Amino acid sequence: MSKQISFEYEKKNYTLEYTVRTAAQANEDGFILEQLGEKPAAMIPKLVYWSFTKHQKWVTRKQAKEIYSWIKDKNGFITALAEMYAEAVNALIDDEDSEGNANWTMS
Amino acid sequence: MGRVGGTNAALPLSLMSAFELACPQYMAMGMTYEQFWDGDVSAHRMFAKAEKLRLNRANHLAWLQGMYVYEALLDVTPYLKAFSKGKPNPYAKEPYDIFEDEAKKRREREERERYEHMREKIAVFAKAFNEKRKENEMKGVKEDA
Repeated sequence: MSKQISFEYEKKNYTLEYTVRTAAQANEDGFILEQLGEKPAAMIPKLVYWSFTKHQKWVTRKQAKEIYSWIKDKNGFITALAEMYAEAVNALIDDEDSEGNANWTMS
Repeated sequence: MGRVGGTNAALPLSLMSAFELACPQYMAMGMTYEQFWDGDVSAHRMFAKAEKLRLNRANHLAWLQGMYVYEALLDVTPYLKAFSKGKPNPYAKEPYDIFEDEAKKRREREERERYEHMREKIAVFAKAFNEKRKENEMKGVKEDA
């Protein structure tokens, strides 16, 4: 099962999830995962908005921004969304392809 | 040589283009269009793994068929030789054991049959030996008398 984030906001249930389509749409919209740290002001709203579109198509960018401002532990939230996005992007990459590659360590 | 017009092939594909290219491949594996684009992202990997298993099985079956054909050719070879009076060997009685438990059962059955055969041989030998001994004993008794 793919990862999801669920919460209740103003008596409505929300589920955030990334699919292959929404990840590609976020990318078309200008979202680049590698730039999340460099340009958070530009990247975070896109990452948040496109995570809504699978289950709540009616949510606008403005509403997504409002809900995001209400969210506690923003760092954890963005990290979870980034992981979900990466999972969708990497859905077509076979784990076994990397078998036999050298392990690496950071010093 | 410089490029004149057309698209720049060196430009990397966008994510959308890469997914659009991959979509028919996944549909060939049995995924629906909706599953590919809007479904659970963990399913893609499962479909790819299932496809690998399918290909592996098809490859194994082709190899197995090749083995049967190869053995059948070897069996008829004596008959096909020019001026040969040889008869073709019969086709294999049973298919190959492709499952480990079947192979194990067959080995056990063969071993049991070998054991039974040996036991019968020993019984025949022991009976003959005992009869001979009895005969000798009877002869000995007569000679003594």
